[in-house]
Amino acid sequence: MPKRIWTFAVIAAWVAGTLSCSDSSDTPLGSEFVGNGLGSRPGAVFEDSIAITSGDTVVTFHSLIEDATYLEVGREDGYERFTLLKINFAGAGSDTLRTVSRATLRFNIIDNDDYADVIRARFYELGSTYDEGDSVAALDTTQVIPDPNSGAADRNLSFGTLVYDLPTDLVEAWIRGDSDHMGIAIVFVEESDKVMGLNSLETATSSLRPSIQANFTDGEFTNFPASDDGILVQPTAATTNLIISDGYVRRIHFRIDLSALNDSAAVHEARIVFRFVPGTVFGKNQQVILYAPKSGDPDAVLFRTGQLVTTRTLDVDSGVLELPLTNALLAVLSGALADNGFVLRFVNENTEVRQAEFYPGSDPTNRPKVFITYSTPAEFDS
Amino acid sequence: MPETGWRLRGRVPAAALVMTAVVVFAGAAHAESKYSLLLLGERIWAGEVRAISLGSDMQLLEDSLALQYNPAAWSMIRKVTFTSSGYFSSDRLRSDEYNEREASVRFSTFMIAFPLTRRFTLGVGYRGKYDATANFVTPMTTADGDRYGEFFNRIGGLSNYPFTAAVHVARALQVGGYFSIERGSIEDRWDIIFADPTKNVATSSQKRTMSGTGYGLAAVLRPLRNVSLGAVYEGEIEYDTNVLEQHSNSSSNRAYNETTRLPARWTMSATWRVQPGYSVYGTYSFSDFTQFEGLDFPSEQLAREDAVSVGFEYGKGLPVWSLRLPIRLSATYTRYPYEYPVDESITSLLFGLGLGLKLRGGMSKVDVAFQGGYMGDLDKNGIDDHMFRVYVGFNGSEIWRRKRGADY
Repeated sequence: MPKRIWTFAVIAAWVAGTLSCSDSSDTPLGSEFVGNGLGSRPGAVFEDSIAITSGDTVVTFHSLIEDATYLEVGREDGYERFTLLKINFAGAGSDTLRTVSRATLRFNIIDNDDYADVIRARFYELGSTYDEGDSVAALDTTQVIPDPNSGAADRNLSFGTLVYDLPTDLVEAWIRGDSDHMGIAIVFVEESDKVMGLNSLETATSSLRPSIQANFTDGEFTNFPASDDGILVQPTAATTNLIISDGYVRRIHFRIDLSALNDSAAVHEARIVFRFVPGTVFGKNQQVILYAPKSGDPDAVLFRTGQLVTTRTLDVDSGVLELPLTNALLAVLSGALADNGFVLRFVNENTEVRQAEFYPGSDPTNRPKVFITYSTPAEFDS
Repeated sequence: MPETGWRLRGRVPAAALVMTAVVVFAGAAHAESKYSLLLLGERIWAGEVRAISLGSDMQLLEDSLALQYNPAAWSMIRKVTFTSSGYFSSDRLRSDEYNEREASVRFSTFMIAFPLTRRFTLGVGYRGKYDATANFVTPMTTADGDRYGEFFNRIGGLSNYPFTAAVHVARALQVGGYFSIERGSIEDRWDIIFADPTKNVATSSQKRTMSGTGYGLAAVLRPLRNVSLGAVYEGEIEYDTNVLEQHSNSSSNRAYNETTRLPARWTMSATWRVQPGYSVYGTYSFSDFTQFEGLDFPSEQLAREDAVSVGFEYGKGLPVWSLRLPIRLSATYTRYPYEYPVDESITSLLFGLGLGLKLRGGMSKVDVAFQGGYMGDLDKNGIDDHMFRVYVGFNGSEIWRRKRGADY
């Protein structure tokens, strides 16, 4: 009897397997019932493009490059670099009672192929105090600090030169607190473009960091180190293009007009395409990031943070920057993400001078455009 | 004192597990009929397989080893007994444009009865009622030439868990009834899937989860020594239905409650033992689904559900190898409770052949039923379904030679 049972079970399993394997691929058979008793119908699929015609703006952040190993001064690629230094005279102690016999600004000039060996520059007193972390919209200087030996305003900064004399009365006033030390700006004054590099506070070797040394009439001397430094970057020309830049930090803020889309649409695919303005992309590390800001107000702190959408490395040869928006647009449509627009910026800002320009929404031919494939939700009980 | 203990021994439990595993194994397969896309789907003949082989809607057997659909007949049970059954189905579906084959496996019934006294039996179990599982896909192309498919899947159905009581009032009268926990869920899901795998899938689903309670009353009469009559009334069931719609864009999600009302069903059965070993069976059932409420199914497509079965059994059986296999033949005509299109009824006609195999010691048996036939009409309904089904059922633990009543 057990043999019968097992024989029967094996046959039954074989029949089940055979029948299951005969399942054919699916067909539209059954779709006849849509609208005739099925009780639901699928959503409709649309493919569309949405041009960015307005709401595309460039937001500027007046932050400085403050954590770079090298300070820069000069002009290149349409950007002026100013080195800002602030010397720490706190704790001067008995030096406030001494008389300065010689004062020198000391820094180390970098010798590598990226930088010029010799430039002409001027030292200026800053008109407003500079502390690391400050936003500096523009260079604010009061007066040039001349070479006390020659009386010349211009200084020749060259590799190998470490010491630049400053007026003793000026430094003595800073030490004694008779005059507020706001900071020193090193300003490039040549016509031709070139950039020089200096060791910054981030340099590991402390002797290479910027400082002011005061020699006193009693034979003593004190080295006052820099407490803050940074590179103020300013563009030499304005542009009407959409631009992202670092050094002089600019981000592109744009909004997508989703009014033509059903609020309940599902997004199958969406991408925005920016077209590069030829010859406007330069700099190292061309990785950009697209995010949805927590605030649509560029002045708000929350504008600077938000939901990451994607990152990309600029491919100038392709002529376009294409960024996926699928999940982000779906989140916006569903209300999971506030519609504050999107922001494009470089990854790791305030590190180096670089930029990329794109045609703006006002350019009817090359304006940014969103390509989207979406579908309306299925209708139930229909 | 009746013997009421478990009497399963040897390989019998193992065989039961194998059979159950076989029918459960492919439970995720597609449903057998496209008509499962309408209303509650296709009715599941959730009976004991011997009864199914004598007609899908057969509800009255003179058998102390069968937990039949008619609960009054459970009073014949003498020992703790269980029934487990399921089926394989292979369907060839056809419309004017398309051909498709579907295969599926379904577990449909598990019941167990506990005879407390010689006259009183209690039972509990599971029964499938409607199978609402089917799918299709429509290939589409956007204006820009992107290919995608509209995939529709419906899964779910109705089932219940009846608690049965049966009383052997007299030789000529048995009564029974049940209280049931009714459960169901039907989920419709649309997926828009592009050929380009980088494009997101858009999904919309609507799931109805139904819960309710039901009851049924039944009687078996024996006006003549060789004639039995049975009747079952299954009361209307009101389901509390929770509807949950979910979409890829969650802003469209919603949830609400509604009521689903399943109309009552009457079933009348008759058994005539023409002579020892030869019996004729007949059953008719109806349910007025025009009274059905819920699912937002178009009322103009609702109809009365009718089912008529006739069956014949040669119980002494034919010699096959060293066995004697009882032969069962049947025909079942069904008019489904929905129309497509409006005013065009959907009918099916199934012919059945059944066999039974006693297992060691006579304590249990395996029944097999083969059914073939059609559902729907190509000209009238646009889709027809030629189906072939294999039902497998396992019954234990009664010893046949001790069974009470007629010797089939």
